Amino acid sequence: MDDKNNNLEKFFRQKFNQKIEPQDWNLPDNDVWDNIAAQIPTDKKKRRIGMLPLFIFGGGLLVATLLLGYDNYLKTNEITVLQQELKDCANLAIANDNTEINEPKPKNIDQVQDDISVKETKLAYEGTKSEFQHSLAKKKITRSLFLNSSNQLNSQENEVMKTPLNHSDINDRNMVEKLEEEQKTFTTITFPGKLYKYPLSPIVSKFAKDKSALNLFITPINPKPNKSHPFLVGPNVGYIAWQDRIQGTFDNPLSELLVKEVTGPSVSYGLSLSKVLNKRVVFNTGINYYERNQLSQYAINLPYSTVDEIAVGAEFENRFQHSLPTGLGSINTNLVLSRSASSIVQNNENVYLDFALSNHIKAISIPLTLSYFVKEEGNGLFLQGGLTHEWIVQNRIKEVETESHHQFVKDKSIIVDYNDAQINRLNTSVLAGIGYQKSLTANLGITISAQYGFALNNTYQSNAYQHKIDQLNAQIRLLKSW
Amino acid sequence: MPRKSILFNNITQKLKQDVFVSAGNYFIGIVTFKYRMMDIQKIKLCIDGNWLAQKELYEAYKVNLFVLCQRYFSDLEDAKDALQEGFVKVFRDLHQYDEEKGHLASWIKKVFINTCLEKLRKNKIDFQQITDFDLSFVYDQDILSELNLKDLTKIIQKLPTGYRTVFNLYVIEGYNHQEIADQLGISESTSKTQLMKAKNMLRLMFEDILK
Repeated sequence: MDDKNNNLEKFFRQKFNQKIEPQDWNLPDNDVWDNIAAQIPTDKKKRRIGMLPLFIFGGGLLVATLLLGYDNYLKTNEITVLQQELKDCANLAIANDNTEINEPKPKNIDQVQDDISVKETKLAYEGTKSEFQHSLAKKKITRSLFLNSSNQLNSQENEVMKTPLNHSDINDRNMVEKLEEEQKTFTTITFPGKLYKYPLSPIVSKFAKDKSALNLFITPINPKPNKSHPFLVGPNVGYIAWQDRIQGTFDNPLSELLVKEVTGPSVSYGLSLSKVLNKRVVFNTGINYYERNQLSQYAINLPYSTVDEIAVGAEFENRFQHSLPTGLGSINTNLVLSRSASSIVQNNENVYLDFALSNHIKAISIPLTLSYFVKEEGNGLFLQGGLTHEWIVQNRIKEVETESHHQFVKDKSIIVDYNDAQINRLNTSVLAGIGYQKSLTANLGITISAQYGFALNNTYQSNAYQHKIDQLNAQIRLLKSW
Repeated sequence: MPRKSILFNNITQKLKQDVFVSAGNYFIGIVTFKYRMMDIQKIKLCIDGNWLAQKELYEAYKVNLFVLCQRYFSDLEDAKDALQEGFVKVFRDLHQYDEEKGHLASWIKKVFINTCLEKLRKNKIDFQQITDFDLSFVYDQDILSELNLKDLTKIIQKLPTGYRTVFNLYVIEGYNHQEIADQLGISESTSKTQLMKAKNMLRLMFEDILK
């Protein structure tokens, strides 16, 4: 019984270990593959695309934070200098007062400095304009101490505001000029709360902890900003993901050899120019430069002929010529495979080759777009649309790689001949996108935007094949108003 | 014909015998890969979503895997569904394949067996003893050894689902009873009983054919 069982099992195993001949079987219908192809998950692609906005957002946030921090840092330096000058004035005034009036002063210089610092800090905290005017009056009174040798501060306050400076009483003329300049410069105060909107700024955080630094937010506004902002100019940097849009099939009979073709992403940089047309609409143009690679990968299977091979010294060579298709036109290849005379090879033995090449493109683009601000020009969300014109400056084969998987192939060389005139150098795309603009200072703004570019013309075309390249573009611009 | 044209024709023909076809042959242990590097490269292309490479893989394996599915399902439409589901799983999980742990063909085969079992479990396999079964299988030759794979597959398809599943797993796939019990959620003794009954039924079928 066991033998019978074992024989049965052995019989089935042997039978099912035989080679399956496709002609004996009902093959699955073509629609099975169609259904499979429709269901093959594209999660990986989605994940890649899904991460892109996060990177753009993160990068934009980082740049904005750094710019804000740098801007505050510049303010800090400028105002610290001015504050120091203010204290110097006070010290000199007290010194002068002591010498000219000959009345003993109980306060020393350090005490006066502390008084000024405390007062300024208090004023900055209270933040009212009247208080600030009071502060300004105090400063002028301090100045009057120096000029008029008077210590009756409160009674003279109003008079000082009205009385012009008397240069004849001044020994140190430079100091007077400084004070006059100071009077022009300090006209308003910026409250620290405005900067708390950017909690990521380490410099702002430092200010928040250091109360004495609060009076550093006094903002010099000379020169006054031009509110009309007629022109905006600045650098930009962007990331472009390219998407090949192909219609038809290659005319080339060797198109089956092409196993992969992709266009890699680009980093663009350039100069932007914008013109404010009205309260909500801005015209944008500029010039951008970028480079991109189009990789074509082939799996080649060649019969190595021992009949046709050529003797070259102690070696034999076989030479092959191909015309291979790429998305940017056909290339002609001259391949030489060599083997040593002692190597063992059969006539027409197949040689498998992996072959890859990269079209390297350098291009400039000129966008012509309009931005429509949802609220008001210069701040907030905007929609963008228009055209971008790409001019391909250079298109050449950058890298060629060949790898064979055969022992007898001693050496291989391949020469590629590519006619770069096959492509259209001038390409136009329709752009549509969305962005956000934020004013950093009165004259400086930053814009983060994302646009999709739909190609209108073919980068390369033949009788039965059309190749367009669409783009997904993320860009950060700095804008300075003129 | 100019030499160049002959070369192109040869290349085109050879393409049809690509590495995945070799892989398909390996599936039944006949041919091994000669060009493993290229194979790995094509697997990467499949993972990257290259439709050409995916289609090549499908073409190379579809016959063998369709036969496998037909061994588990008596209905041709069920077998097609299993084939479809299996390939979707293969392409979905291909990034999990580790070439160090075994050949691609073995991995794909395992994915398909699991797919078939999952589909059978959904339909609730009946492991009860069935005494009244159809022996109407007609065979035009009376020599058992001349039975080909297609005939044997048809005979296996005549087995009740429970018998057929255990028989396939034990005899053809090489699982042991413990593994079968784990896969199907049954006891080892049930697996053994189902196998024994499957063999008895097959023997009756063969005797009927040989008469």
